[in-house]
Amino acid sequence: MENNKFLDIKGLNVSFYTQKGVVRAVRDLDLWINKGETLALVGESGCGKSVTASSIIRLIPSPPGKIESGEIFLDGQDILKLSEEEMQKIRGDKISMIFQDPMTSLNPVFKIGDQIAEIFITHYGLKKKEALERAVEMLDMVKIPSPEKRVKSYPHQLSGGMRQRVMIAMALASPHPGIMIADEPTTALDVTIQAQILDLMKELQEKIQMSLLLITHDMGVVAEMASRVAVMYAGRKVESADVYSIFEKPFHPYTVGLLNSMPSNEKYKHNARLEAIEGNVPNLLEIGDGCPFENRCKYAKDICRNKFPEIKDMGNNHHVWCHFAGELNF
Amino acid sequence: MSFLKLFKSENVANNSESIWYENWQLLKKNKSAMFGLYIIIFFVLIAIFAPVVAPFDPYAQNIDIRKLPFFSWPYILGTDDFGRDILSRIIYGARISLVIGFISVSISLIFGSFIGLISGFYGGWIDKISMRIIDIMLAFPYILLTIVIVALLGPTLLNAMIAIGIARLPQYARIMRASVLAEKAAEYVEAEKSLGVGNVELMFRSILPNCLAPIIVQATLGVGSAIIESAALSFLGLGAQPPTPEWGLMIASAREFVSSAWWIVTFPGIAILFVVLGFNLLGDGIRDVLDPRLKD
Amino acid sequence: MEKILEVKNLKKYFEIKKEGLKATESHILKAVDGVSFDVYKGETLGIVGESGCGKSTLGKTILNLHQKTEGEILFHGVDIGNLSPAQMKPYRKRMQMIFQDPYSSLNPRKKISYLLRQPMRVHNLDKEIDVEARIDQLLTIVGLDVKYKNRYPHQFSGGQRQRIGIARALSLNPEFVVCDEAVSALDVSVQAQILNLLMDLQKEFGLTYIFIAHDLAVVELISDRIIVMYLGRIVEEAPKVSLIANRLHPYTKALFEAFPEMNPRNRRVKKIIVGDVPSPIDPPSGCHFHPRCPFAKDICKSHYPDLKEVSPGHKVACWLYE
Repeated sequence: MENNKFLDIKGLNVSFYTQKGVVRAVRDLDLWINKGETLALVGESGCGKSVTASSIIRLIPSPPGKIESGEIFLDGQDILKLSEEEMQKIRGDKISMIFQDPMTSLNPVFKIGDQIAEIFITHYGLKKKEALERAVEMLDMVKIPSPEKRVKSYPHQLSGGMRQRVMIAMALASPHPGIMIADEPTTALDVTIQAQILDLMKELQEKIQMSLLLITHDMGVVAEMASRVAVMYAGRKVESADVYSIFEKPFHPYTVGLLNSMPSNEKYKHNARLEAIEGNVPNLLEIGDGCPFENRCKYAKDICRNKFPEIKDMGNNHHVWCHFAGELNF
Repeated sequence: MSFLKLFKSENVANNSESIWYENWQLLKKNKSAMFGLYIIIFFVLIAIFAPVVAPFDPYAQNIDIRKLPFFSWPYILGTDDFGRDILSRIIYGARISLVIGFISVSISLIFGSFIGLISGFYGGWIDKISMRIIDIMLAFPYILLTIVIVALLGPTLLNAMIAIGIARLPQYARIMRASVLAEKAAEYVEAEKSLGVGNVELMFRSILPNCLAPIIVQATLGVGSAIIESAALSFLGLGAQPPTPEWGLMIASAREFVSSAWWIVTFPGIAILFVVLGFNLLGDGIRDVLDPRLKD
Repeated sequence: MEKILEVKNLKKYFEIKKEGLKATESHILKAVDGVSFDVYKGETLGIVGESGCGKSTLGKTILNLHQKTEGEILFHGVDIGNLSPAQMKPYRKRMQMIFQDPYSSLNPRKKISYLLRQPMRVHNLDKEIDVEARIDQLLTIVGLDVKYKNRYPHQFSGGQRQRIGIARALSLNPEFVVCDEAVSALDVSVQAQILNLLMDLQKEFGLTYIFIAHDLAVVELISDRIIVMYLGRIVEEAPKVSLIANRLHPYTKALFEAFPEMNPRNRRVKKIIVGDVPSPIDPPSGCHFHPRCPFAKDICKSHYPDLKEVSPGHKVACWLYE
C-alpha cells in the first residue's frame, strides 16, 4: 500500500509575501495519490488548490511565492530537493498539467502539430517527419476528427473543447506519463463538451494507468470522476475520504455546506430555499491559527477560534479536521 | 493563474479611500518620481516668487558688465552680451517656460481628449472623419507642422503655445479614443444604459474618469516636451521675441558666443534640462503607478 | 395570468465583416433568429443553452439594449423595440437587468452610494423621495451593512458586489428583471446566498424574472418555466415540472444527460453527444442540431421544424414530434 503512492505530499506550507503582508496560501497539507487513481481536490477560489498544483510542478512564482517547508515525493523522489534542471526533465515527462484555459499553455504562433511533434523530438529524439506522424496519432487518440488536417491548424482555429483535447494529447505524449494535474480542466467549457472531455480523460486514464489530480470547484465533476476527494478551505485541508463517503456521510460542516450549496443537490427537487453557507471566505492575511471556517460555521465554539483541530480518523481512511467531527447532526 | 486572487481581500477592505488616494500613496514610494516632483515644485516656486528671488531686473541692460563670467559677484551666473544678469533671466524664464508648458498641454489635452472621447464613444462616421484628420496631422513631421501653424498665426509667444498645443493634439485624441473604446465595452456602461443613463452623462461622468490615467501620464510627459519645443521655436525666431527672458531665446541669441562665453548658452540649457527631467521622472512614476503592465 | 411581456418572432442579426486580402467579406450572425414566447407576471422564466445559443443577446434585445433586427417586443402591449431613447426612458424604470460579472458591471471610480443614487437622479426621483434613506434601505434589503456605502467597488468581494448590482437594479422599483448569468461568476457557497436572495426578493416585491444561465441545475432550481435554446432558436419550452418529467427534444435530453449529477453511484455510461456546437455564423441547414442528433432523419437536414405545443404549455421544435 505504502509503495503504491505515486505522489505523496507531506506537511506542505506555501506562502506569498505581498505588500500587505504574508499570505499563507497552503498550510500543513498532506496529500497522496495512488498509481492510477483520481484524487479530486475541491474548494472555492483562494482555498489553495491551484497553489498546491503549482507547487507540485514547482512553478510557484518566486517572489512573491515561497515553499516554506514540506516534502513532495513523486515516484519515491523528493522533487523539492531537485535542481531546476532535474525538475525541468520531470515536467512534461512524469508530470503534466492541463489548465482551465488551454490558450495560456499553447503557443499561438505555432501549428498544433509542430507543438506536439516538439515533444517527440526532444524526449524521444525522433526526426521531424516521424514526430509529426506521431502527433497525428496522438490527435487521433484524443478523438479529434480528421487529425491529418488538424495538425496544420493554429490554436485559435480550434474550439475550446478541441484545444483541451490537444492539451491532453500533449500530456500523454510524454515518455512516462505518471500523473496528470488538471486544474479546472472543464470549467470554461459547455456542458456537452465538458462531458466529452471528462469521458476522454477517464478512458485514457484507464488505458495507460495514470494518476490524475483533478482540481475543481464543481462537486458534480467530482462525483463523476474521483475515487478519493480532499476538501480544502482557506489553505487547509479540512476533510478527505473516498468519493462515496464524501457525498453520503460528510463530517466537516464546510463539506456539508458545499454540498448543500449545489443547486443540483437532490434535496432541492421542489424549489426549496438553498441551505447556503452564510458570510464570506476570510481574508487570508487575517487568518489566525484557529479553524479558518470558524467565522461561518453554525457549530463553532471558542476552541475553534484558537486552535486548528487535530486529524480525526473516522475509519476507512476518512479523515476530518474538525473539533466536533462525528458529534454534529447536519 | 489565479495567484492574484489570493491577494484580493475577500472581506470589505477597511479603508474607504478612493483609487486616486491609493495611487498617491504608491507614487509617494517611488523615489525618482518624487525627485521629479520636487524639481517641478522648485521651479514653480521660483516662477511664482521671481520678483522676490531674482537679484536683478532681467531686462536691465548695462554695457559696462557685458559677458561677465559666472561667479563674478554679485552676478552669480554671469551676464550676457547686453550685461543682463543671467540668473535673474533664468528665474524669470521659468515663468514663461512653465506657462508655455501648461498652456500648450492644456490645449492639446482638452481638445484632444474631447475629440477622442466623442469619436470613440459615438464611432461610425464621426469617428472615421475625425480619425482621418488626425492621421493627416500625424503624417506631417511634427516640428514642421508646428512651424506651419506659427507661420500662419504669426510669430508670437502665445501663437507658439497654440501651435504646440494643436500639433500635439492628435496624440491625446488617439490615446483617449483607445481607452474610451476599451471602457465602452465594459459591462458597467451597459448596466448604466439599462438604468436609463443618457449619453452625455455616460461619456463625461462615467467613462471619462476611467480614461484619465493614460492621459495624465501623457500630459505630464508632454509638459517637458512642450518646454523643449517652445525653446526650439524661440531658437528659430518663431516663438518668444527679444528681449523676453525665454530660455530657448537666451540660447539662440547667445549662440555666437558659445566658444568665447559658454556660460551664456549653458545655464539656460541646464535649466531646460532640469525642468524637463522633472516632468519626465514624474510622468514615468505616474505611469508605473497607473499602469503596472508597462513597468520595465 | 397577466402577460407582462410578449416576444413575437424576434430576430437579432449582427453583421460581421472579415477583411480579407482581396475583398471584405460580410457575414450575418443570426444570434437570435425568430424567437417567440410570453412572460407572465410573477413568474421566473429560465433560459438555458450553451455558449453561442443567443441567450444573452436575447436578454439584451428584450431590454432594448441591442436594437432588434425584426419582430416585436411587447411590454404591457407596447412595442418597446421601436422606441427612441427618450421614449424608452420611462420603461427603463420598470425593467432592469442584473449582470454576470460583478467585477466589471460596477463603475470602479464611483462610490457605492453614487452607484445607487445615479438611477434615482437620472429618473428625477431625487425630488420626490429621500434618496439617502432609500440607499440605506436598498443596502439593507440585499444584506449589506449601511456603513459600507462610501466605499468603492474594489473593496468588496464578488458576492458583495453582486448584491450591490442587485440593489441598484431594485432602486427604481422595477417589475421585471432580466438576470443574465447573474450567479455564474460566483463561488458555489456565495452563489447559493445570491440565489436565495433573488428568490426572497421575488416573493417580497412580486418581481418577474427572466433568468438566463448555462448552469442547468441553477435554472431548474429557480425557474417556473424553462426555454432551451440552440443556435439562436428555441428548441423546447415547458413548465419546469413537465420538462423534468419529460425532456422531449434530443438536444434537451443530451444537455441534461451531460450535466454531472451529484451522486457518484450514478456514474452511468452516458450517451454523450458528439461534436462541437457549430458556428452561429454558418449554422447547419434544416434543424441546426441535426449533425449531432442521433435521431436525425432526411427532413431534418432540409427543413427547420416549427415550435409546436405537444402537451399543455410544453412546446418542442423537432420533427420527431410532428
